[in-house]
Amino acid sequence: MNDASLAAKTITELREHIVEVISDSGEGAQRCGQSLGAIAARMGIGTWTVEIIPAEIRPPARSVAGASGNRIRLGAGRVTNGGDLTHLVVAFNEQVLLGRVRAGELAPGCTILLESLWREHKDEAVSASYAQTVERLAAAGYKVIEIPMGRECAAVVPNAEKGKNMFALGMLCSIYSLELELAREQIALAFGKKAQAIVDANVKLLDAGYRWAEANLGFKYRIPAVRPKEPQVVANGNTALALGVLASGMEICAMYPITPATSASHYLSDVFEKVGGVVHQAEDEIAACAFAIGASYAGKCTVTITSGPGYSLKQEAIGLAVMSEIPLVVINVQRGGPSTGQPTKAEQGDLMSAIYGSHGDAPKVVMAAATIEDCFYSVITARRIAETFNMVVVVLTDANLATSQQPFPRPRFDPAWMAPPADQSAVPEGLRPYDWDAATGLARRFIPGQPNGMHTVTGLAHDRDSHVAYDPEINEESIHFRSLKLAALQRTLKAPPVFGAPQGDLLVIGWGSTKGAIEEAVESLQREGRKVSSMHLRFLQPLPPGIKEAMQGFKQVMTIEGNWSDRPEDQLIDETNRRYSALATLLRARYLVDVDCWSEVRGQPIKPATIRTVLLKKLP
Amino acid sequence: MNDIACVLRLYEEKYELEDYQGGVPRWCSGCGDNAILASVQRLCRDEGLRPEKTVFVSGIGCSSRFPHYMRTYGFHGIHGRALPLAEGIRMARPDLHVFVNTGDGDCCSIGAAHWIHAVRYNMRMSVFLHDNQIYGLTKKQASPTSPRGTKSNTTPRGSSLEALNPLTVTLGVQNVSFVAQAVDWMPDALYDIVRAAFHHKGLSFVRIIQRCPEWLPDQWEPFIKDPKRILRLDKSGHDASDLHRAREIASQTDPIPVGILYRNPEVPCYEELRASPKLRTAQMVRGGLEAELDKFTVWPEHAR
Amino acid sequence: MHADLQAPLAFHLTGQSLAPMEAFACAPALLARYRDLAALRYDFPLVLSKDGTIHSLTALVDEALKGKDEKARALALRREREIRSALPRTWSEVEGELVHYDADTPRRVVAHVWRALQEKRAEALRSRIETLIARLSEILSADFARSDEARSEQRLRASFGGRDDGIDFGALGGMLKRAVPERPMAESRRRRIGSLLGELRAQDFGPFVYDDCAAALAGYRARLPRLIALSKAIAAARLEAAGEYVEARHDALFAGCGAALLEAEGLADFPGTLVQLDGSQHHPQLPEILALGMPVKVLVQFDDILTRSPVGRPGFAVHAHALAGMALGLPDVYVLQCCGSQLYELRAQLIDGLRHGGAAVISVYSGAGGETELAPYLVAAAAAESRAFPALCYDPAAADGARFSLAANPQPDNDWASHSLAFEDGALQRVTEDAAFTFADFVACDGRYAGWFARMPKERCNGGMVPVREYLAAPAPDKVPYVLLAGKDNRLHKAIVAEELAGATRRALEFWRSLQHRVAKNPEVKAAEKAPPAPPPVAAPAPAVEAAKPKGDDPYIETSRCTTCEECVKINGRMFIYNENKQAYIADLAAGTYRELVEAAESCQVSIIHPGKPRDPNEPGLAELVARAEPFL
Repeated sequence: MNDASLAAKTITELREHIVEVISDSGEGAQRCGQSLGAIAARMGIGTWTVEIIPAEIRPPARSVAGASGNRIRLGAGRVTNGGDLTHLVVAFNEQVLLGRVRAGELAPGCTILLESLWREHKDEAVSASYAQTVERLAAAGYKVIEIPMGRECAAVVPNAEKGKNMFALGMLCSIYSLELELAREQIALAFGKKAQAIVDANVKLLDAGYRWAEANLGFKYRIPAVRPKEPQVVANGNTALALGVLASGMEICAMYPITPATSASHYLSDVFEKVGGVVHQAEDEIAACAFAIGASYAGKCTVTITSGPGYSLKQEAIGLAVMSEIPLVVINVQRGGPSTGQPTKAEQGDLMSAIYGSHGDAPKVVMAAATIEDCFYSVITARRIAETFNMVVVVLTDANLATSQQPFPRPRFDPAWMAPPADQSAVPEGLRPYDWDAATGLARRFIPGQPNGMHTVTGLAHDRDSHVAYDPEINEESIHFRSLKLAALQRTLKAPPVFGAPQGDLLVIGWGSTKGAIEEAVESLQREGRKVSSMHLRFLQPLPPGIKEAMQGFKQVMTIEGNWSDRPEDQLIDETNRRYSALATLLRARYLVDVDCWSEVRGQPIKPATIRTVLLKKLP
Repeated sequence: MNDIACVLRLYEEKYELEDYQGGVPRWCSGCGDNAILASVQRLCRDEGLRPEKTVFVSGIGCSSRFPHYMRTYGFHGIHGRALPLAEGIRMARPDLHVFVNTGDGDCCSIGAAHWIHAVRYNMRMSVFLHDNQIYGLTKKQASPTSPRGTKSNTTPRGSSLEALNPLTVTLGVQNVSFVAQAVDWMPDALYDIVRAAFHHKGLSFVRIIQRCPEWLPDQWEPFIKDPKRILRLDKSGHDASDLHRAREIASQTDPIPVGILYRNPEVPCYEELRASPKLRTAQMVRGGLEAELDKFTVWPEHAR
Repeated sequence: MHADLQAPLAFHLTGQSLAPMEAFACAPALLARYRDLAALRYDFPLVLSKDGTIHSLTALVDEALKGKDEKARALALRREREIRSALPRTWSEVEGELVHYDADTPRRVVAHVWRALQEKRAEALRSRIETLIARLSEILSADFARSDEARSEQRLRASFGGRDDGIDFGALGGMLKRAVPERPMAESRRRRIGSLLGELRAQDFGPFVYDDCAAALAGYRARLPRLIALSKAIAAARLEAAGEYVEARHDALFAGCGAALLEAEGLADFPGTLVQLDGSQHHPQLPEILALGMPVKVLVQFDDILTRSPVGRPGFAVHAHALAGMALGLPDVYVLQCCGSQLYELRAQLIDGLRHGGAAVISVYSGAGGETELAPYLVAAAAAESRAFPALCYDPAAADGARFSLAANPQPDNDWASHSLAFEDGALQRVTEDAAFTFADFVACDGRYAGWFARMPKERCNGGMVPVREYLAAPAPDKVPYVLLAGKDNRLHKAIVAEELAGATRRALEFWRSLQHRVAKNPEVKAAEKAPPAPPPVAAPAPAVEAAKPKGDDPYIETSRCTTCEECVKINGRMFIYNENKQAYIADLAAGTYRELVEAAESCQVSIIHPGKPRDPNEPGLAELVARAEPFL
């Protein structure tokens, strides 16, 4: 029992706090963290939950690399990203904790609630390492509070080891003044499928943890909450993607297992059949793409979900879809690359291959989801664009969005989202399979089953009748029109809004999952009177109009990205050889503006504080 | 049944061979592909297949030009991927007749993975392997089915590996449900086999041994000249339900077995196993989506 | 004449000189031991389960008792007996409704099975129709997707996800309308599909139940146009959905065709009609209903078959016989006639009848009508036993020779069903006698006809008295027919049968024999051979224009072996031509030279071209050509 608890309790008001719950995998820290996020969200506290995933399926117990759990950022108002360093950790053993410390994730003076049973562990090596670690952490200025969680749980339920996570949840509810009743409901929800006995046991543990914290911890926080008026969906990006597929009225998804995209397919496989859909797990990535193209060709637009390595494998097939103008949605949940890279980690390294991938001139539409909500709606939009323009639409997300949870307003289903049935009406005399519109390159595709529409689509250069073209004019004509469709789409896009003033010293441009972090950093600087604004791009190919004009309002322009760019400070690097980040390269090439960039590829979501520092350096 | 009923039930167009003729074939004269095209067009006519309900899918190679020469829907895809393309079509559209034309390079080399899994899926389609034992379009390279010692531009001193046997490979895959072999120079037998393949409920795999007058002109002369070097399975009383016997026959190359080696109409089709029994409607999708959203929704007080 | 025989004879002929029996004093001896039905384990009560199946309580109990010990058995049997005597409507242990035997049983059983079948049928039809509705709706929404309306700013915004993120939907709409002009379907088709949908959606699935022919007929007549319209709609919708509807062909067709289409579309699948009639009434329109060829099921229930016309000789069960005769005389009508007591035994036939695609008549005698102290079930059973109401079944769908059957009657090959009757004689000796249960015995159940029987004191019985069966087999002036009756005291009596009843009994027997004759006429049933499985019939290859190999000199091609390799037609496309199977034949010799013939033969991959001998002796280089042609002759 420590002194703190003896002092009278004062409830501290906080704008935000970042909590981690970590354990060996299988100890339930994940569930604890997710429940905490959900409870806070229901109270109206802003949340962003990120999974902490060990690279291996079953890392050895008490291993530094084995940390598994959740990182929950709680904040007043809307939280748009994972934030910076952690303020409070609940750890089930000291080793997994060390993993986080070394990753530099803990804020100085961070509070650590640590399972203390290891101190009395019969294996001396264990007890020694524990004692030593606690000492070092304390010495390093961390506020370590040892808690006999296992023992406390044992007092409540027989197999205490299983229940620690709910005990921890109880403590956290007390610490952050969360409503215990909501927590109980949340447990009932989480264990809903299981027996009432299990629910009751977990509720007991929850109450025990809450009581223990009330009695023994000397601090208590409150984060201002605003009860949501609308129902909110709390799900991660991959779940949102799958729900988007459902809502878009697509009927077939062909995939091959690959991290970190697979969880989307897992979830989709579970729910798709209930609405008559099919998730086809193909023999390989190429087959998955070809299967999707075949199904798309014969009916409604289909989708294939993958990640970097799979995306590379699909390139030739994607080129076929481009050439034959078959609508297709390809979702690439980006991970660290190149090659096998970092399967479970976030990166934005595939922008160039998404835009320029596949040999020859293969124009496709490329969109990037910036939020969890985007993941849902982007699929609907992508399917619609694909069928309207008969193009391949690539939707980029990344491991950060895939595993993060953030509440967003519950979508209201509109039948208009659903793909229309395959057109089977007879093709009027005189129409041709590729009747490219002179102005836009658009043509209405013929679908098998349509009388008078018979033709053979081909990956070979072809004319308006889809006949193999050997004639140079025809080859140019078809390439011309396929390219023109991008311009046509671009003409219907709106200029992306500028976040902040339209003039200033610095414009920051980003894309994808970095939106929340960038805007948070920019906003904080704006509050300090700095002349910095930002712009976030949803369409990367084609680039929407108005970007150049926007840039002209600023003295400097730079991108912040999660992919590699050469460091100017390297002595070998100069103007003539620096490799810029993907978006920076695109902007420089398109607008002849000296766009600078800053990027990192640490596999972690970029932190607002990091961005802040970068921008400060850049600002006068 | 009365006359009206007949008109309604048996409403069928009468088709001529010409109705299925697309572009003018650009195969070499003497090429076995011509014989296969003629047989398949005959099949379409005799079965009265509606051209708009029929799709020919192919990969890359001489044989894969096939769809261009049919006046039906066609999908001339990329090298080795004809089967997954066809599987997608079948999954999306059970009402279509799906045919696949593929070559020994397309199917047995670059597309080998898809070939094996297609047999396993057993989706209803007729797969014709035009096996001329050589890469023709790319100007004579040895293919997996080239007999050992075949001289080609990549094997100037003769190919060094034993030929892969498409029949034994196919018969070795779980869920195999129809395997036959034909030779292009026996048009009537070819037609009968193609027709049986079309009527099979499942994936029917027909290897058609095919002459390449351009690159391997004399490959099959002895067999053409000497009928005794052809084993007609339909006349030899072979029991096509006997898988083991089929495998034995498949592994013999002289005389060439011609006919249906194996047929099992009972093997389930992947598209039927996976297809939704229920009628898919917007209401159904809405219901499903709302039910799922409910699982992730946090409700404001009293919102429910 | 034997003195002792005068009195019986007199009674037999005149009804005089012996005291006629008083009503209800006796019952047929064979029925004596069944007086207490509750003690008897017989088919009733029935259990009608939700799925339309019929079970007998006894069978259910036996099923449940399989492998149970004696105690449980005894317990269950007692429970069963309680149920029999207490007549509850339901029973917790079994799913379904309990039907005890009474005047209402036939109606309830038939209606129950019929409804169950109807529901199954309606379900199938519904899903068929819903599928078509879905297909047609898809055609309309695909058409809408092509329209400008679908590309209005609002529609586009909605269809892109409903959020206004970065896309100018006004601009997009304008561009799409210009680039891909709308292509609405023909107005005539839109209208047609619209009305088809209306037709398919407006359906009445019944059930349609009537208790008189006029109403049934009127109801059907009123529904007929709707049914025809529906059948047209289904047929047309199927064509539309498959894109096979050709206005030029089908508009006229559908305008023209009427009821005929009903059959084509399987009228049997449409909601049917049940008519429940009272056999004692006259139903002049019944034949008309049965002849309509609609799936109408008619239950005619007879409660009393022993009514007699005040004048003339008694014509028993004539209405029933006439009904059966009429129904049997109509094409494609399923006929089932039986006593209520046999409904369980004949449940399979009953279901067949109600499933039958056409009309069906189910004629049942309940036994609940006459004047008797016996339970209706016993009376019905007696009628069945005595040929008074023979069980017959005619299934038009059955194979030749198997259509008409009397199998459900007791001992169907004999004149009468006979049983061995055991009793004690005056010396308390156990005697068994083989007794036939004749029509006369059945009549003895009914109090109204007690006057036709006279009890003969045992001491006065003698050899002149013979059982009715023998009497009918060999009538003689000095014989008197008797039946064996049992009094309430279970004493056995021989009762003289009046001549009038003996006559009725003879007529019943003759009618029965005529039925037997009908069965005998049936040809042997042929076993239908099954069609061979899998391999599809391979059509003979289309006839190839093939010149029968002529003697030596003339050139020819073995066309059926042609592999379409293009060689010959490239050498000379007028001399060599492809037939309808794309196989080559020599169309016109005059169109080419002998040289071309030889070259074609040489280039033919499968050597099926035979150049024969040159026609023009002056063709240059002939000698050399002839030599080259040698191997191909």
